Order: sequence, then C-alpha cells, then structure tokens
Amino acid sequence: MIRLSNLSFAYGSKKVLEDFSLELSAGETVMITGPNGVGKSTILRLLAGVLKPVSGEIDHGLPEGTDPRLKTAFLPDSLSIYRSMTPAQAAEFHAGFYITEPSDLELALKAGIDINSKISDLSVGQRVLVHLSLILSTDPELILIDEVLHSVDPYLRDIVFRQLIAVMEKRNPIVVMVNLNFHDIANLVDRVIFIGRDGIRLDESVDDLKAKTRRVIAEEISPEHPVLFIENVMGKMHHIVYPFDEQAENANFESIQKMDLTEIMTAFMGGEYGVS
Amino acid sequence: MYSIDSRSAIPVYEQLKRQIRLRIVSGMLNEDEKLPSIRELASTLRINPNTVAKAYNHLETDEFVISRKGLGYYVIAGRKNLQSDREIIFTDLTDEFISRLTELGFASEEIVKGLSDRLRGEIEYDQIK
Repeated sequence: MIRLSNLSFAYGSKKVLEDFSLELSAGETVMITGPNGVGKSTILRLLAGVLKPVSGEIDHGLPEGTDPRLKTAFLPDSLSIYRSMTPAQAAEFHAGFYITEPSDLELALKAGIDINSKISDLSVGQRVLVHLSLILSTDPELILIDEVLHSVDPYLRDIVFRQLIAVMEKRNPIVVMVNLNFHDIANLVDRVIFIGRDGIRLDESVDDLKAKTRRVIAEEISPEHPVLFIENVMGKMHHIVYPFDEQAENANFESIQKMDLTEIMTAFMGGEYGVS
Repeated sequence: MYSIDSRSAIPVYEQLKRQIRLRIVSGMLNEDEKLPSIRELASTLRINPNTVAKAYNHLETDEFVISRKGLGYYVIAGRKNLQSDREIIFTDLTDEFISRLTELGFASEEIVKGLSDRLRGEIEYDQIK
C-alpha cells in the first residue's frame, strides 16, 4: 500500500496542492481526473519521486532502505531522456541503472521501431513506446502514466494496453493513470478519483460509481436528490443524480436510466466547469 | 468469443460472469473444459486482469467452475441443477433485454406491453400455420 499524507506542493509562489492525502492499495488501477491546474500531474511526479513535497509524507510501503524510484515505472507527459542514444543503447544504460536485465524492447519491436536509430529521430509516439519498453521491464510495483499516451496512434496504443495488462497480471502493481481518454481505459480502471479546485471531490470504485449514478428524466426534481448536472435533451430535462437514493426508484419520474463511466465523468466535468 | 460492452452500466465482471455462465448452462462449454487464462482473457478483451479474476471467483463460489492449482479454471463436472439452470438462462437473457431497453429510455410498462403484444403476435401466427 502507498500512503500520501497531508502533501503540499507549490511551484514557486503558486500553490498546486494543499494538505492532500490519499491511499492506494496493492493491485489497484486508478484513474485520476479533473480540470486543468488542480495538480494531477504534480501528484504523479510526487509519487514518482521526481518532485519532493514542500510538506507532508509519502510512504511507498517498501522495505527499509529501498529507493522507491527503482520500483516505479513513470511515463511523464514530456519525454526527454536518452535522446542521444539508440533504443538498444538506452536499454543497456537503463538496466545498469535499475540493476535488472536489459529490456528486450519487445514493445518497440512489435511497433516496428528501428532500435538502432537515435531516439531523438523517432516520432513522439515511437518515443513513448521505447520509453514504455524500458520502464515496464524493471518489474515495477508502481506504474504511473500521464496523458502522453494521447500522442500514440490507436493501433500502437492498443499494443501498449495489451503489454500493460500482461504486466498487471504478472506483477499486480499499483497503476495510476492521469488525464487519459475514458473510452480507452474504461474497462481497465477499477477506481476513479476526481480532483476539483478544492481537493478530492469523488473517490469511488467504478462499480460503485455506476451503481450510484442515474440519469433521471423529469420536469422537476425535488431538492433532496443531489443533482450533479442538468442537460436539456430535445426539450426534456435530464438530471444526472449522484448519489442516487434507492428510495428514489419509487418516485414518479418519467424515466430512470443507468449510466456508463464516460457519461458519468462527463457529467462531473460538465456539471462543475461548464464543459460539455 | 466473449464481448464486453464498455457503454453498459452493468459492471464488467458481471457481464463476463453472465456470458460464461450462459455458455456453461447451455452446453456451449463442456464439462472439464478449460477456461482461458486470466492474462489471455484480460488481454483479448482489454480489461483489468483483476476483473477476470473476480468473475472467475464468483463462478467458482457459485459452483460453475473449479480452479486447479497452477493449471487454471475448468468447467465443473457433474452439475445436476437443471431446473435452476433454466431459471438462470431466463434471468440472464431477460436482464440483458430489459437493461438494454431501459438504457434506451423505455419505461417498464412499455416493455411489458410490447413484450406481451409480441408474444400474442407470435402465438397467433403459429395458430394460422
């Protein structure tokens, strides 16, 4: 288990996180989402050990004296490492640093990347694949993926997900993903954390979240039902209600519909921030 | 092969569990037949391995499959609950039917009326023949 306790962080005078706490359990795959500027990428960098918190603590739950960075695979939102090397050279270098067998670069080879050309000559998507080949080969206990996966085309992204699933099955790591497209990962994630300007606003397992959110079609809805977001669909008012009370099943609404994860997250974003 | 509807409000493990259960009770999967490994199925369906494990665990608790240490999961042999099998088939198929129509915005009364109209239509057609 990893425990983040009362973390605060600022870039210069700009506060990004304040008194932020979170626990992550072994084997969990977590999506962190929310609007820009609430510190999602900062949380990943703190977890990766790339940044140090101004105050607060991170307990990686590792044996005394283990450097958590050696047990962490971090795919940041900007890739700059090993640019002057070829993927083959980078695999040797990386293995030396992490004290492990060099990556077989399977992922990069599957994607048809020439592992003897300079990394700086590769496309962004190819660089992501090389980077993932390196970091997934280190038997990580924590995998952190930022939104850079957007720059990988759908075919290669699919190869990435298959590789990730294989590592998840083999090592049972904690996986934290930030800012990814819900469609891509809806079936991979088992917990969703939505961070707003005032901290964590939602922290639920995906199954619980689906069970507790309903689209209610009704002219009006009494104030005891917590409405997240209202949509006008062809003149009918759709109220997205969370958390949905079982007793409300009996209320005299025109219709009550279950919602999938993408719709629910869109409602969370849209309800608060006016993005549709 | 199995298929997961990521747009469905039914949890993924539940979708998978129902599909495997239906294959077992309808005889599409034979006694002692090996189920795909967790990694294989998770990778094919692009779902979390924990989700496959959860579906398999539920199926084991409900005595549809049995796990053999180090070998994987197999369809249990010698099931004799034929009456409850019929109920399971009925519930699984109607649940899917109802949840799809509900997600499309049909109300319960509409579904009941539409279904009974359809059934009456089918019966009349049979009688004409």
